[in-house]
Amino acid sequence: MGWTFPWASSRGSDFNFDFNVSFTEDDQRDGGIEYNYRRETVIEWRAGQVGGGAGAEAKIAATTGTDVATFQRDRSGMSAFAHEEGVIYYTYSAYSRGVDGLWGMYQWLDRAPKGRDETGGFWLRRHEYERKVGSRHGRCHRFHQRDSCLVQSDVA
Amino acid sequence: MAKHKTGTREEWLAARLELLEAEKEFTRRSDELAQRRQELPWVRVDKEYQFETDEGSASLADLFRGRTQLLVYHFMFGPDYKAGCPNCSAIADGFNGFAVHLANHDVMLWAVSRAPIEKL
Repeated sequence: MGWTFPWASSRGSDFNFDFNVSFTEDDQRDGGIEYNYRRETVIEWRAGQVGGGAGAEAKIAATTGTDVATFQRDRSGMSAFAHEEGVIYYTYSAYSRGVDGLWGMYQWLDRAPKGRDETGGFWLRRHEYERKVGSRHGRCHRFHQRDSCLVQSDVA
Repeated sequence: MAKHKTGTREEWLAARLELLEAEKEFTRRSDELAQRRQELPWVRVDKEYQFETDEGSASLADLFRGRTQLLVYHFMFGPDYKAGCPNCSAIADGFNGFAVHLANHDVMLWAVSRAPIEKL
């Protein structure tokens, strides 16, 4: 993706599980998981939200080459730590809409005439937008438009 | 004609000034919230976490790279994903630009995912 920030793999460590952004199949089977400081069942996630419903969830999961259950075993958020006098401290985490403010683009959209205007779709990776001269929408933000916009080979 | 309500520049300014008060209140409340975040108790981390990075294996302490503060973005890229989550990718497009400013402000910003390092 052309990024330069440092990116670490926590594979094999408990890090993601201890900070509540990864879950096991057993967690999912045993009646739901606890994410963003509340219990939820797998199916509830995103229902009624942007592009809501299980069908939408399957579509976003497909953009990562997974099914819904696999996709939902990992979640997003942020955590903060301090290092003082040789000791590491955990200080803060936020998840879900708690990180809205970290999505810099949202702050701009909140000042645009039509706001976030996310009805019915989701964002693509930066190289997946097809340049459409004269298009009213710079992005293909609806599912029925999306198939013609997404460069299918980019997912793999 | 626009479907949205329209008005003169004077009408707009009056409405804007009213909104400005609400925005200022929001800014002040946001500052207070930030202060309360900093007042949360710190929890000692004694567990050893191992990470893989472009420079090899690293501990949680190593991720600080000499800074006293570490921010982790939990980037959704599970071990079985073929690509990272698109929303996380859009967020990363943002912090990719300013991570260098944080690094020079005693704050290391890392993305961490469960996928193997070869995929990241």
